[in-house]
Parts: sequence; C-alpha cells; structure tokens
Amino acid sequence: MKLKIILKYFFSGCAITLLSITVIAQEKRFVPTGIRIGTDLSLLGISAFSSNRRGYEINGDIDFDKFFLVWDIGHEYRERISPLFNYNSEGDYFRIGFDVNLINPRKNQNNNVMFLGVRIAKAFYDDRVTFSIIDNNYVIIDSFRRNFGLVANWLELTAGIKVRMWKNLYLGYTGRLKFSKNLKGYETLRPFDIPGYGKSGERSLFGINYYITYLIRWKDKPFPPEKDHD
Amino acid sequence: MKIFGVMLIIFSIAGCSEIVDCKRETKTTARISFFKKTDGTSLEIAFDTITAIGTDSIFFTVKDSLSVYDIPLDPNSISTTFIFIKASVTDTLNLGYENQFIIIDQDCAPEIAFDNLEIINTSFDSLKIVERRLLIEVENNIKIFL
Repeated sequence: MKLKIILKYFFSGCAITLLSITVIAQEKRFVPTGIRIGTDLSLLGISAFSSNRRGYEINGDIDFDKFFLVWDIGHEYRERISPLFNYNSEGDYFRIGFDVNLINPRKNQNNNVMFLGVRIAKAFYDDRVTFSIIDNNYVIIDSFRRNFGLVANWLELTAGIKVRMWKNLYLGYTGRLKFSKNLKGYETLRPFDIPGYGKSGERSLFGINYYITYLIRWKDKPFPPEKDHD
Repeated sequence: MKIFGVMLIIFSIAGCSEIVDCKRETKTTARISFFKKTDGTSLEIAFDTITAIGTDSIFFTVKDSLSVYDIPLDPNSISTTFIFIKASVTDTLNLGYENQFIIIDQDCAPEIAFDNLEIINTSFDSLKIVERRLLIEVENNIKIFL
C-alpha cells in the first residue's frame, strides 16, 4: 500500500519532469545528456553490520545544463531496544528536488558535481512499541501500542559532491539539513523515528550519506565556448 | 573544493555531538486545590482516605491535612475515578484525559504523558478546571469549592 503511494508520487514527479524536459529542451543546452543511478553506501553498510537497522536507498539524477533533477526512494527498518522498551518503525520514503552544479562547465570534462540543492521529502510508515513501566500507585504496566499509516513531510537543504572515480562510476556524499518536519497519524504512541529523517523529536537534523552512482550517458555535454575578450 | 571538505567535517561532527536531555516536562498527577465556597480563600482539609478505582493504593489519609492534592492518574486508562472519604461522606471525581507513550531518547526511561484533562463526572457541588495540560510547570488543574 505504502509502496503504491510512493510510486504514485514518483510517477507524478516523472510526469512533471517529462513535461519540464519538453519545455526547457527547446533550448539546446538544457537537453539532458545522461542519467545517474546509484545507491546509499552508508545505509547498505549499516544494514550489513547492524541487526537493529536495515534498509536501502536508490538515487538518481538527470542534468539540465548546470541544474539536476534529483530523487531518492528508500525503505528503512529501525529498532530501538532498551531494558524498558522495544520500539521499531518500518516504512518507505522519497525525496525529490533540484541541485545546482557549482563547477565551471568549461573545466568539467569528467561531469563531476559540486552542488547545493533543495529537496522535499515524504515518508509513509508504521511503528510499534512494547514496554514495561513501573507505576508506584497502579499496577505494573506491561503493554503494547502501535501506529498504522503515519505520514511525515520535511524539507532539506543539501550540499555535496559526486566525483568520477573510474569510467562512468562516481563516488560522493550529500550533507543534509533536514527541517520543517510535519508528522501526522498518531494517537497513543508518539513516534520516535521517521524513515529517511531520523528522530522525530528533533525539529531539525544534520545527516550525511555516501553514494556510489553510475552515469548512463547518451550524449556528450556541450562545452560552452571560451568568451571572446577582443 | 576545499569548502566541501570542510562541510564534510562539520556535518560529521554535527552528527556525533548529540547531548541527551532526559528531563521530563509532563507529570503523572492532576493537582486539585480546595477553596472555601463562602469567601474563595484557600481551604486546608483532611480526608480519611483518597483512593482510586483500579488500585489498592491509598494516596492520602487523615494525617495529610492539605489545601493542595496531587492525585495520580491511571496510565493504563483514559480515565480515573477518585474516591474522597471524609467521616460518613463519600465524594467521587471521575477525570478523563489523553495518554501517550513517549520515548524521549533510547538512553532515557520512557514515559506516559497525560494531556487534555476533563471532568467526566463528579459528586462535588462546585468545581472548575483551570488548566487542562498536565505539565510540571502548571500550578493547578482543578479548583474545588467546599
């Protein structure tokens, strides 16, 4: 169900993108030259070594001159264990936005990217907790609570790099300032985590992800001619 | 390119420099204050017992002569009925509320937070809610006039 919603948003995004491409492709320099597809290495690494957190993220970007349309789709399961409770959350998320490449195109034959960008992000997930609280006046509470269909939105300011390592393979990182979070759909359990965001109690968060991406290029990037100084 | 190296370090440090504050802001009791119906001044009163349905605990006895009582809400439920016995007179006060399980941090004890206090039913003649939120900073939730 959540995947359906994610795909609905994703394909709506694609439709808007295609429309945008058609409009901006009227100008030659805005015609996309390739698509970069990749994954979040940090999340894969954590999944491999931790039993309390697992997930994956698929990323992509497509260029329009020095601008990039960027998207991420991910899934995350996270468990928090303490002597008094066992909390877990699981769900899907996506981010979509734009980056601007700060590298001078005339000096960028490797299609490296050093970017600043913005994202809108949305997560759809469920969470649950089993807990034990000792209350001096009433019986010992040993209970279970859960939320279905939580929806979270937030915004991100991003900065990072994607550097060509070998042929069409790129490595890079994205630093994120996540803010303006809005979370809906809970009653008796206040969610602790949001997939793709982190701790829900934080009004803003810094995050960093390390990526490996592959560039599928169908066209060479046109290099702007040197300016005539005469 | 240097600036992006610096940003990488800043982001990494920001992610590691988290300080956990386990301080709780909510309380598990409702505060009741007693006042004289005649002139509205504070009234010190002792009950034989103050108890609640759902527990064997006796919260207060005749030894406690107070004008302010902090009565503990049942975290297993969304309402608690309190029984006030004084001599041969028995009064009841049924309070409703929302309760929510909150994890402040993985390293802190979780808590049940209460909010939106309301009077469902009571045998007291004259009383009013002055504050529905159940926060530590709140001085008084309910005023009872006798």
